[in-house]
Amino acid sequence: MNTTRRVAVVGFLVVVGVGLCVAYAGADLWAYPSSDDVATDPAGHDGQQLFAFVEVQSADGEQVVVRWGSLQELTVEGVPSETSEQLQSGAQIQVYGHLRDDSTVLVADEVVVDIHGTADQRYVYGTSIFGGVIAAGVFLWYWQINWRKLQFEPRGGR
Amino acid sequence: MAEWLSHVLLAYALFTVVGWYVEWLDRKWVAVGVVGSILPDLSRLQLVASNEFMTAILGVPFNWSGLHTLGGAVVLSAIGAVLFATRQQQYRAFLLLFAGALWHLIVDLPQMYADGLMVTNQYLFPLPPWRFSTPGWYVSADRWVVVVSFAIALGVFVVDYYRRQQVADP
Repeated sequence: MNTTRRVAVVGFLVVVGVGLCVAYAGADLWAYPSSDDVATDPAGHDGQQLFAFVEVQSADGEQVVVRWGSLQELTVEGVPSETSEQLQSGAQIQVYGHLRDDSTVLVADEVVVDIHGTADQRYVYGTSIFGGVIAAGVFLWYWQINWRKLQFEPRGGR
Repeated sequence: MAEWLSHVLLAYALFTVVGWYVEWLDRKWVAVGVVGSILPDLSRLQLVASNEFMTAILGVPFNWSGLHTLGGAVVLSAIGAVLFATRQQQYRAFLLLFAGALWHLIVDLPQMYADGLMVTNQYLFPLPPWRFSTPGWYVSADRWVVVVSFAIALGVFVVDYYRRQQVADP
């Protein structure tokens, strides 16, 4: 494959990738309402069951205030105190529950904490960067980049 | 999703073991499979260019998470494969990049979700959004995941080392 054709094929595939992300954004993948759905008609979603990935703004006892997509301030009730005590601002949690009070309160049936705070965030990013460096290093140990032809070639003897 | 270090270690283990039975899958191709194992997380590009930014630029709703899917694995593997020199290398690269990306999605699947179901509705895109029960083994910040991954990779490395010694000195 010559360089011009390679660039054209990669360009085409990048367009396909962008199209995939556009199609994904427009797809209805969840049985639960989205934050945009709730923001459009808050009262209409009272009592509705939902599953949300949210970011903690503040945690005080069993009452936790979170940001959920376009909803900037949503109070989550029913979070076990041993869980909320460990949450910092910026923590990422999942809540399965139902809405009430014009969708200003989310009553949790189940809560899962993905990221408790900055220590967890640093751990995830740190190990991910380390893993990425290892993957790139191992790959470039066995393969080299031919910049003129824009292709990967095996290094001699490996 | 698990962090990249666990993905890389588990992909190394998987492709090294497969290489014991597939003659052409040597260390340089294991390295390709390892790179494939982090491809779906190119969805993290949203940290550089947010979904809102991309939506404003393109004028239509856009979500980078489309890359962290079966469809994304195919497209990203194809882009990677095109960058290899020969037709045979391109076929092998696509196979390993896709297998690595698929392995990434499989490793991500059994995480803990508050409604008790896997997020296969996202990962299977563009296939229908089915969801199955999750065993709920871990969340992304659980430290034990990387410890177990390291132990598995180390075990495979040791066995692989002795296998190579036996081949070199029968």
